Formats: sequence, structure tokens, C-alpha cells
Amino acid sequence: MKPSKFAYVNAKTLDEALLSLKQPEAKIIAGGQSLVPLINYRLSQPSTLIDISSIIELSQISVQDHKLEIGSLVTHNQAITSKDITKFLPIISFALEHTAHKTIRNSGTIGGSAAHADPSAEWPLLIMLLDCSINIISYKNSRTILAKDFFISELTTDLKEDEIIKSFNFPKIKQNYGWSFEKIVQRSGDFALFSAGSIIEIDHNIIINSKLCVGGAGETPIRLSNIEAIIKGKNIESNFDITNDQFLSLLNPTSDEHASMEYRLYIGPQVIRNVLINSIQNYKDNKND
Amino acid sequence: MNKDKKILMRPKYIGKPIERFEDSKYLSGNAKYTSDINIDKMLQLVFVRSDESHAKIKYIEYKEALKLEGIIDVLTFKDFSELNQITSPSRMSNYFATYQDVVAKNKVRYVGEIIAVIVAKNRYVGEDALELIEVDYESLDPVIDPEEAASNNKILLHENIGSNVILERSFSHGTKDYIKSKNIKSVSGKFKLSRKSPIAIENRCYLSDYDIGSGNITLYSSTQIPGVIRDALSKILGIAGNKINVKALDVGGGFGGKGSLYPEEIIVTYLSKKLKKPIKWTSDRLEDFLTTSQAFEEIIEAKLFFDDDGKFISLEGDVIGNIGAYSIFPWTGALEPVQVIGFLPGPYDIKNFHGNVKCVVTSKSPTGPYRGVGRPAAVFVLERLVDMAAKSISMDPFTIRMKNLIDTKNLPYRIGSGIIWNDAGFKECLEKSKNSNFFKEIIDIKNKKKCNRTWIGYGISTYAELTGIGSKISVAPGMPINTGSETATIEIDGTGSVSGIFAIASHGQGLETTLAQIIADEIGIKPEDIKITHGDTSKAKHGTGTYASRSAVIGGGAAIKTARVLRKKILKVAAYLLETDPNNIEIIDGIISSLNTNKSINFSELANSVYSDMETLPVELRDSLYAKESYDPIFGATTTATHIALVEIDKQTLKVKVLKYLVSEDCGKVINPMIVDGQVHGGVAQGIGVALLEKINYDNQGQLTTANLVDYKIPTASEIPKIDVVHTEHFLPENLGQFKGMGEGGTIGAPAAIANAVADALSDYNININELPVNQEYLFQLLKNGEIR
Repeated sequence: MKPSKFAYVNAKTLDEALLSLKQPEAKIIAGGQSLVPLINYRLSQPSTLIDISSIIELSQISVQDHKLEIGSLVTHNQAITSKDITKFLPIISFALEHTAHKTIRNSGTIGGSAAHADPSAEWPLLIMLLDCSINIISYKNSRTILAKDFFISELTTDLKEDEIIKSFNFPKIKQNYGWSFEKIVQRSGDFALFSAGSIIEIDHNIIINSKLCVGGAGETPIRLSNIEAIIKGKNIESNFDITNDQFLSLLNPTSDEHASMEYRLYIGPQVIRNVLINSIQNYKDNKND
Repeated sequence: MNKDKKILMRPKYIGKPIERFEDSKYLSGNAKYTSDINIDKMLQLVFVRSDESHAKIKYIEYKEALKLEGIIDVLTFKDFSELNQITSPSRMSNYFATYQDVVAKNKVRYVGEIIAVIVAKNRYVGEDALELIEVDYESLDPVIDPEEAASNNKILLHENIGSNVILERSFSHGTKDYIKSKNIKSVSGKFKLSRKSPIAIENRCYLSDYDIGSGNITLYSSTQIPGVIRDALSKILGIAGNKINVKALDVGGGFGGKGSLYPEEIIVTYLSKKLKKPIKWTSDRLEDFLTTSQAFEEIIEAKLFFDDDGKFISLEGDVIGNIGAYSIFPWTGALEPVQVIGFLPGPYDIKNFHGNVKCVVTSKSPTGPYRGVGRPAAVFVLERLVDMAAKSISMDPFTIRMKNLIDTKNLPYRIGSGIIWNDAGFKECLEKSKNSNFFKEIIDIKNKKKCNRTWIGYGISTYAELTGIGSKISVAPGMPINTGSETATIEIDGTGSVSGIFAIASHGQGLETTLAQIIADEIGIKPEDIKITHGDTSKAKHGTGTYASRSAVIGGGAAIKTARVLRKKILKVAAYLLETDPNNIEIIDGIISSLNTNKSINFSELANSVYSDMETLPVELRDSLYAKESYDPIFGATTTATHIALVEIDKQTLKVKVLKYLVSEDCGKVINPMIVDGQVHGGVAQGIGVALLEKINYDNQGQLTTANLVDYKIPTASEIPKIDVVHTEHFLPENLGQFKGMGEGGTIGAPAAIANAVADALSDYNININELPVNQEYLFQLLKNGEIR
């Protein structure tokens, strides 16, 4: 479990990193929490590792009028402890507390987690859930892509070989809302067997908009647009009357060492139901504060 | 000064929770493990390992690998032809030894078996070479299912044996007349304990340094058994034992996984001699999963007979042990399965016992000793049956156990399998657990927490184990190596400081501290002033190592015996110096005083007069302050405990959480309660892993599918509850020090207690918890089959 030979570039600026990335088989490394095991198993054999962890501009969190912009180098722990994130999107801080363990959270970054695209991980779920758009840059140009177009399949994204993720735009939520996140694991800190997050925007007890996303249920985090549509316009006190089949219609989990597909299909509707109920409860709790 | 008063003042270190002397180096990252040693011109090995579980090797192509810069050589079985095969003999009848080539010759029998050896300047270039080596196999049908392998001789793993069963053994005691009895009741089940990995934090590592000048070899090995390894290497390599020094420096956990001889150890040593270079191999986690001896994997069918009053009448058991591809040295693959059947009757008075065991070879990694050997499985099965019996006659789980546990007045007691229990508080431990505040609390929690989100239940397990086993009993059945004695050497150097040298090998148990406490009490010095050396065969010439809960008992006994001899020597010299009788001398914290005058000397003065000052003492009193004795307790010491676990099961996720845990145990005289509690905590944590999480899985082609710490789940601190420990000290009068072994007990009792707790939590449903681990998936399958809800 030793990596194959690679050159190492400690990039001081984004330009330097982008220039180095033009080399064939070059790969970006930030926190290394996903990449290092892969290169140690030689499942990935990059010619050059470009370490971007010294590029300060990538580790900023900035609050703007309509969004929070989170630099790709922001670590899980940085996000958990950020006052801005906790204020505007507390679901992020809460969910990331469930990511692995402190030592890993001190190193792992949002950009690394998104680029690795594990459908059971917290950041990909949050990015998908929160309608995030992703700022990507290459030596030639830059572009912004929506989360739903970014995650293609398990461990595969739309990121091109010469591109670096610069930052993530998380739109602020204007309305009053409630949120909830739940994760099913066998052991604390594990990847989710199944996870779900939801944001429910409420006006005068009516659900005017909602976001519902699940992890560990398919090749990417999955937005449950069908459920979002069903509950839109409903009173929060009403019974949603969603059947298990409706909950499951967009899910496509598989069996692995950790749990069977059947277990995931069994636990899925319960977890989704929980986050819907808990989001509404969260809204009520906040309103009473 | 009054003599009694002075003796009263003498501090006793045994029984004190002294902080471990070795912790500062461990906790500050300054421990020195084998992998930390680097020697000039050292070469590293990378092993080409089999990708197939059962196959013939057609050819190995490594020309391209040889061309790489930094590759010294690639070696195959031809290069090791002078080495004997690894084989583990046994005196048991019906036992067939397996023979393993150090490097596979023409057939591989498990994924991970060594096919070729890359000698490289470093591990990186060695792994580059690994990618260039091609092995062409002719696949054979894998041998995976032990039941099928036992009954089917068409696919043989070892053709020369003619069967996949390397041992079959039966035990029978009493009659079977009870079957005719009208009032007889019974409970039965088919139980399975999943295969597990020991998972030490430090992976195995070996470094052999050949000294060209002297021809001596020093093997630094992360082993639990340096003495056994030295003896084995001497035989296999044909080198005198005094030319090989096996040194186990700091070893980062063993749990049995470092308690056997490994091919890598032989290859490293052989090549350092052949190439006249230091040779090192450090296992990575993948190799550790593939090749470090695994544990358990038994199928046990058992039936407990009892009468209307819950009195046990008979126990019948049938064990099939899947031992993997080879019978491991020196214990044999029979070690675990035979002990499952041997310990099955437990601490209960059961007049009739009928047991059978089969050890089956399969194309999986070899199994070997693991913390608790045999007993975790035996206790799991029996304690489940006991609870099932209690439930069937609506009896309380305490009452049925109290009714059947062997009474102290009936000890020693020979159980149906032949094991003899001696002084131990079986009933005392159970009573103490029931009368504890802890038990009141858990009943309270159980009643209060009844809610619609969780099922809650508690479970008990009571067991006995044999520890500190002397020469009359084999640690492994039929093993031709005596593991019943240990040696201690204690000496005082010219400065007056005291050193204790042992052949046991500490790998985190705190033996450096406990042995110092024992010597301190015997001689009359402070434990922190004693240097304990262990795990070095050049310093302790005979002794086997640390395993089977023996080191405190046998090593501690040897320490006492030796310290007493040395104390006599000290007193003899001191009597002359203090101008008094040896009986009028007391030694307190290193000060040797006359009881009838105010004269005293310290150890430095004592040593000076013996070794340096040629005037004070007459020549005949200048005998070196040195003693060496060995100790053999002849039989074993019975340790017992009752465990109680309180668990909660989430009705939605089906996840089991251990809320609280109690261990009420009797390990004889407690040397250091903090270390004992720590060992109990660690053992229970591993038992929780067995009960809820850990499962080595091979697919039907014999490929290991849980080869990393993401897929193979060991418990983290978050999964371990607060563990309470209550002690009972039931002494074995014949044993020096009255110590009993306790390092394995936590792992022995926990799987059963948790299984019983889960069954209790689900007692409204007609289910049987007969397989471990109980994870979400396991409970989900029960639920799916309509057994829960």
C-alpha cells in the first residue's frame, strides 16, 4: 500500500496550480482524506500531485447578499465552527458533525469531498440539497455548474481533468424554514447506510417550497422532487399521505458489505418521513423562540 | 522500634492502582516498535501474494520486475528449497498435520498466500515491481463452506490428508438415559460465530539483522512469543539458538494475532542470513487482514436438557470449526474449535455431556489464537441456551444460573469435557452482580425507558476460564511444547539498582508495572526503581511469551520465587554490614535497616560493598546479587465472571446500542486494580465488536471482501458504554501470589451477555439470537421473515 511514483507541486497560487494541472495525469490534492487511500491502493496513479492547501483564497467563507460562498479548501471542521454557516445554513454544521471523526474533519475539505463524489457522504448531499452551484476554473476559462449537473454517478463528476473547484455558492433561504438531517450508520463516523436532509420553507403554516435529498440511495445524492411536489402548498398540520412506494420511486440503492439493498429500501421511507416531520418541528421550535 | 509496628509501615504495592510506568512513552509517541528501527543497508521485502483462493500456479513471470532500479531480486519457492515446511504437530489422535511451504510451491490455498518474494531497496520500488509480476493460475474449486467441505471429499485442499477434516474428536461423560425420562425438557439451536480479525493497531513487522562478524542473527519481531519463535527458527534454519536473538520491542497489541509463527518471519530471517543484509518487512493493513491469523468461525449445534425445576441434566454439542487453509504453528488449527467443545459445559453442574468437534480446512486465511480462544463461542452458545431454558419454564435468569452453578464447596470439579475447575467464586460473582447498585439502576432504566421508539433488555453471562496454565495441561490440545513455566531473573548491579528480566513479552498489558509491583513487595523497594526487561531471548533463555492469560500468573509467580531467593542474599550481606541477624532486618522502599539498632544502608551501599569495595565484606559474602528461578503452577487457575449488559434497540433502524455494562469478576489477587479494570474494559470493547460489528467476510470464490477498516468495523469509543467492574478475590492457595489470569475475560463474556440482552429486548417475539454479530442487517432479516413485530 505505497503509491506509485509521482511528482509533487506545492502550488502557492491558483494560477500555479492550474498551470501544473495541464500536465497529463496530474491530480489535485487538498486534505487527502479520499485521495491518499486511493493512491496507496494504486487505484489512482497520478503523475503529479498538486497540493493546493497553501492557496489562501480557496479557504474563505464569505457572506454575500443572496448566498454564502464557501471556498473549496474549507475543511469540515472549519464549516462546523463557522458562525456564518451556523447562522444562515445550520444544517451544514449539523450534518458535518456526522462526517467521520475529528481528525478527518480537520483535514477533509468541501472541494475534496465534492470531487470524490461519494453518494453516502455528507457534503455531496448538502450541496445537492441546498441547490448549490459550483464555481469551477481552468487555465483557459471558468464556469459555474449546478449541483444536479455536477454529480454524474458514484465517484464521477462533471469536473474536467484541467479544472479545479474554486468555490461553492449556497443560496440563502429567504423564507422562514425548518430543517432536519438524519443519518443511519452501523458505527459512529461511518459513511451513511442511508441519509436524508430536508429544508421546508413555510409561510402561514403552508409549505411554499421544500428541498429533500437522500444519500446512500443511489449513484449520487438524490433530490426527491416527487415528494417536494406532493407537499408543496400543504398545511404543515395536514397529513401528507405519502406512501412507501412514493418515497421509494426515485431511489436506486444497491447492496454492499454494509447493508443490503432491501435494508436501505426498508429504512429509507422512515428516515425521509422523519426529516419531513422534524423539519416542521424545527420550524415551529424556531418560531417559538 | 517495635518490630510489628515497623512491618506495618512497610508499604504494599500489590493491590495499588499505580499508574503504568510504560504509559509516558506510549502516550507521547516515544515507544519503539520494530518498524521504527532502520539499519544501514537495510533491504525491504514485498510479497507477491495469491489472488486466488485455491489454484495451481502455472508460472510466475518476473523478468520485467528485475529490470527496475532498486530491485535486488525476485525469489520463488526454488530459492527456499532448503527450508522445512511449516507444520504443527499434535499428540491428538485423528489429527492430520498440514504442511505449508514458506513460499508456495505449486498450489495456493488462500488469497494472500506468498508466491514470490521481492527484495527491494525500499517498499515503494518493491510495489512498483509487484505490478510487473504476472502469475498464471489454473483455478481450482474453492473450499468455502465448512459443512460441505467436511462431508464432501471431491474437492480436497490438502490431497495428502484425503479429507478436509484434520481432526475429529468426541467427548462423552455420563449417560444418555435422560432421553427416556418423562420430565425432561430441552432447548436447542444452531449457532454461528462469524470469523473475525484480531486487529492490533500495529501491523506485524519483522526485521532481521545478520552480523557478518559473528554470524549472529537478531530478529526484531512484533511477536507475543519470542521464545517460541527463537526455538522454531533454530530448527527451521538449522542454526543454534544462541546464534539467534528474537527481540520483541514495544509491540502495539497482539490479541493472539501475533501469537503464532508466520512465513514472513522465517523468510526475513533466512534472507538476512543468505544475503548478509538487514532485511525488513512491515505489513500494511491489507496484508494484515489477509494474512494475520483470524478467529472463530464455528457452527455449533447444541442442546441443553433440564427438568421442570430448571436443573440441568445434560448438554450435547456438535462443533464444526472452519480453521482456514493451514493448521497454524505451534497451536494447530484445532486450538479454537476443540476449546469450544471443551469449555462448552461452562461453570455449571451438568452430569451428562456429549460433544463432538470437527476441524475443517477451507481456502480461507488460517485461523489462530484470539483473545478468549474457544470460550467466546462456547459461552455464547451455552449462555443463550441457559436463557432459552429459563424462558421456557418462566424462570428468572439469575435463579436458573444460581441453581446450576457449581458450588464452591464442590470444587475442584471436573466438567464433562474433562476440564477441572478449582477455587473460584462462581456464585459469588453472580450474586455480587445481582446485588449491585448497577443492577438496580438497569432495572430502573429498563422500566422507565419503555417507549415506542426502542426495545430495551438486559442480558447476563456467567463463565469460567482456565488461566495461568501449568505443565500438566496443554494450552493447545496435544501440543508438544511445554508452556507451563516461566523464568525470572532479578539482579542488582554495581549502583544498587534492581533489574527484572522475563521471557514473557508485554504488548500493552502493563506487565512492566505489575511485575515491578510484585518484586517491590517481595524485596522491599519502590516499583518505579525496578527495571523490567522482557521479550528478549538473549536475556531470558527460556520461556515462551505472553498469551493465554498466563503472564501475571506464571511470570508473577516466577518473580516472587526469584525475589525471595535474592532477598535472602541481600539479608545475608546486610546482616553482616548491620551487625545483626537476617531476621532482624527490614527493607522498606530501598532502605535496609536493623530492627534493633538505628543502623541502615541503602541499595547503593549494599552493592558497593558486594561489587566494588574489597574491604568491607569477606570474600565468601561477595556472591553476586543475582537470582534466577522458574515457576510452574502445574495446573491452571480458574477465573470466573458474570457480565451484565443493558442494550437498547432502535425500532426503526434496528441498531443495537449497549447502554450500560457490568463485569463482576474473580481474578484472584488483584495486582493493580487500574490495570485489571483497563484489561476488562478493553476485553469488553472487543467483545462488543464480536457481538455487534466485526465480521470477516469471504465471498463464494474465497475473496476477502472486508479488507479495510471501513468495511471491517471495529468498535470506536462511541460504541463503548461506561463499564463498571466489581472484584471478588477467591484465592488458589497453592499458587504463588494467588494471581489468576484475566486479560481475556472481557472478550469471553461480552458476546454472550449482549446476545442475551438483545434476546431479552425482543422477548415478546419468537426469535432466537443465534448468530453474531447482531447488526442492523441481521435484525432486518429476522424482521423480514416476520419474526419481529
